[in-house]
Amino acid sequence: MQPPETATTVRVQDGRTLTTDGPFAEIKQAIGSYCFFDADDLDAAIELASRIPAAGMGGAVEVRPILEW
Amino acid sequence: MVAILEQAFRDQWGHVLAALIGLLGDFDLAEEATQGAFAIAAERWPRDGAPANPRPWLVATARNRAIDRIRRDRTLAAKARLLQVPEATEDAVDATAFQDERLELIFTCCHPALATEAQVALTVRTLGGLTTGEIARAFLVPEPTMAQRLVRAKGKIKAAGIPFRVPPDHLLLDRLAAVLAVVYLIFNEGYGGRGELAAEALRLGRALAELMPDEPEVHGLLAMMLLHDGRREARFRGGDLVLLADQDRSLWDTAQIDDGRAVLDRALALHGRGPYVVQAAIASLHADEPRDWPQIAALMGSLPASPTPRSSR
Repeated sequence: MQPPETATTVRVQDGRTLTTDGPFAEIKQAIGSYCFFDADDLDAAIELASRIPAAGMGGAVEVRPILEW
Repeated sequence: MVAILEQAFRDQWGHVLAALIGLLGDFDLAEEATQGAFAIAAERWPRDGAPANPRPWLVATARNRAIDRIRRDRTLAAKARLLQVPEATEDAVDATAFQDERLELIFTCCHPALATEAQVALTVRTLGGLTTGEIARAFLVPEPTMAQRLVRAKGKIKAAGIPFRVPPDHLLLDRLAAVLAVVYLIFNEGYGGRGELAAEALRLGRALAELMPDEPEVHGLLAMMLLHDGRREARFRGGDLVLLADQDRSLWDTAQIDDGRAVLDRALALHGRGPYVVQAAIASLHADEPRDWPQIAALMGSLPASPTPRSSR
């Protein structure tokens, strides 16, 4: 993955998608899972992240670009 | 000639940079090429005269600079978009060839995946053409801190893939709110006395109103800023704040207040009832003598609940 500066954290509250700059900071919380997907740009990635149920259940989804070799 | 160059810089920087970013998809390269074009203008215009239409000249010159730079770097293959562009010559420029991409630029700079302070800094840098040093002084942070903030923001746009475009309809209202918040923040920094930021916010507000003529909140924000800024000269006496009732009205910029009211009328004609339109209407009523307190109170009541308007009531 690319460095934490490239991260965006996505949460869904009352049906609204909220984004913040930077990684998910509360590292005491458990990281549930990770998944890889293809997205055209960050807006498409945020859209996908907002559909992950955890984002709307008090959790957060951290979106980071992958380093390509 | 110096005045012409300065004017061209103020008027054209955002246009030229936006066009170059649209073409190259790279903030740093675009910025370097745009700076280069203005440097060439500073050298040639005093000698050969300024072109009748400076914008296409500047965009073509900046594009040539970028192409030279890419050739030098031998990364032409990676920038394939450029290959589709015919060779540019500086003396034969089609004035209609370049679209205005400032709206794409401001939405990219105010993307919610960037921290607010980064959105503000990037917007002032890319659309206003303020130097890093000027922005650092205006926001009272050390220059290296501001430089790092800008580098990080540009790095994130590139690495995370923040798109260079006006958002699609289902995102537009949320994103527009972020853009307006950034312009308002810049204005607020200027309200405390740093007039160059207030002027910058007004320039941005006017550009947005020109680019999005059908959005009432865009006009609402511009009207509110014009109305508040029109009272600037009367607001301080020797560094002390002068309350509205005690202000010397002869110091008000009445032309600007009239301008603000005309913009407010436009917002109301578009059926704008959002928070910026309401605040502009309140500011307009405050400029009347005597003040219509019942109407001010009613408008205050229609603003979203937050402690400041509640206590003002």
